[in-house]
Amino acid sequence: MRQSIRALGWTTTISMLLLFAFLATSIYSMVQTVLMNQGIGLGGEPQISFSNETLTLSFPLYVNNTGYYDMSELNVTTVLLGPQGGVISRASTFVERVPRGSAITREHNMSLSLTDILSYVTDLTQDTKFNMSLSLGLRYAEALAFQVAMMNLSIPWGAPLYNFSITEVRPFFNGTHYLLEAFVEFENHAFFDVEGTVHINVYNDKGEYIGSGDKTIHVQAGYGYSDFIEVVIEDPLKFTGAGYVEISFESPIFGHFDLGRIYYD
Amino acid sequence: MRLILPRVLRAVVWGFIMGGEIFLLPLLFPNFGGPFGEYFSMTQFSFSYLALVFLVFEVAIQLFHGTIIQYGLSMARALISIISLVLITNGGVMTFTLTPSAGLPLPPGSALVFTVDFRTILGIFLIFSLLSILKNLLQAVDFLSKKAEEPVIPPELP
Repeated sequence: MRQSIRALGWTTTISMLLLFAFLATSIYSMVQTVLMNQGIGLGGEPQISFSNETLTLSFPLYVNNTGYYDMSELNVTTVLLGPQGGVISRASTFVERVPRGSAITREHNMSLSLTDILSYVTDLTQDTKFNMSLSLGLRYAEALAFQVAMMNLSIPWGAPLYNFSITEVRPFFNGTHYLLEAFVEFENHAFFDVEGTVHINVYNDKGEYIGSGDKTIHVQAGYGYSDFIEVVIEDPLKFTGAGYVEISFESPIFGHFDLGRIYYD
Repeated sequence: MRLILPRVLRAVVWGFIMGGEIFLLPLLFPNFGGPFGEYFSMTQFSFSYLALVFLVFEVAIQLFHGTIIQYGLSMARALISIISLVLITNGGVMTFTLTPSAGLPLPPGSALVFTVDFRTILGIFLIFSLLSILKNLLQAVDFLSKKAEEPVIPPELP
């Protein structure tokens, strides 16, 4: 009886010591690999490509396992959320196993459809912010699972028609027609070129229709735009010097977008 | 006195080994834990209580050394450690939420959520704790049977 109790006691003690030794070495190795040696990295210079109205961001994911144990089920997930919530895009990169003493590099690709982004942008004339969350999960030494999630990271979104305004509406006669010149200006804060047609309908202060005009524009990313749009008017007497302009914008990327009314006087 | 003093000394030594050192660490190293200390303050608080329970049990076990109470206390300690560890560690899945501060330069409004899942390790530890209870139970049975086998000499007989 006493021998079996002693054997049981020693077995328990030795097993417990082995368990604690394993726990200590795995945590130490994990901390050394991830924090001291910066063994896991997502970032660096992302490669940006834009085609078929889809923006693709490629982040290099680098894992260098310098620890004592294998890493497995490594999963990186990025989620882009709209300003008021709602998932715009979700991307995951999964690595089955990173054996100890080895390094791997993968591309974490995040595809963003411009149509999806624009469905969350209600105003093309104001900059806004998207939210992004990033999570990294992995199993270490088969027994420990870690998950690190960064929530609510702000991603700025530059408006393609930032501060769109009509600063002046003035009449003139070109010898054959009475015309209005509407002076339009905005800045393209977006990461892509803006190409399309601006359409305006001009009304007087009594709400009577005066005339309409179109202008095809092409503004490079990061540049401003300022020009006149000519409006042919049939009845010059309707022009009272004050009123409002209804503006819409149409492009292959955005489709038809109403920009609302701007008052002039 | 000759019986009490060694037990008290043993209780002090084992009490220090089995949890007493936890209470000395903050005194010896005031900045123990560094900037991460504040995020784990609740866990530290819970672990301090667990260490205190271990300390009290160890001192009592050493004081009652050589009696049946020693085995009862050992079993109670193992049982309490099982329940406490499961409760404190949330069943082996612990989550810490870190927000931006001076020691942790995160973007404003963001949060870092850190989750550790060590259910496998906890499960193995609980199995060993159950084995420890079994061992103490067998020791108690052995102790009682040994007591029963001791020859009883009536005091009136020489």
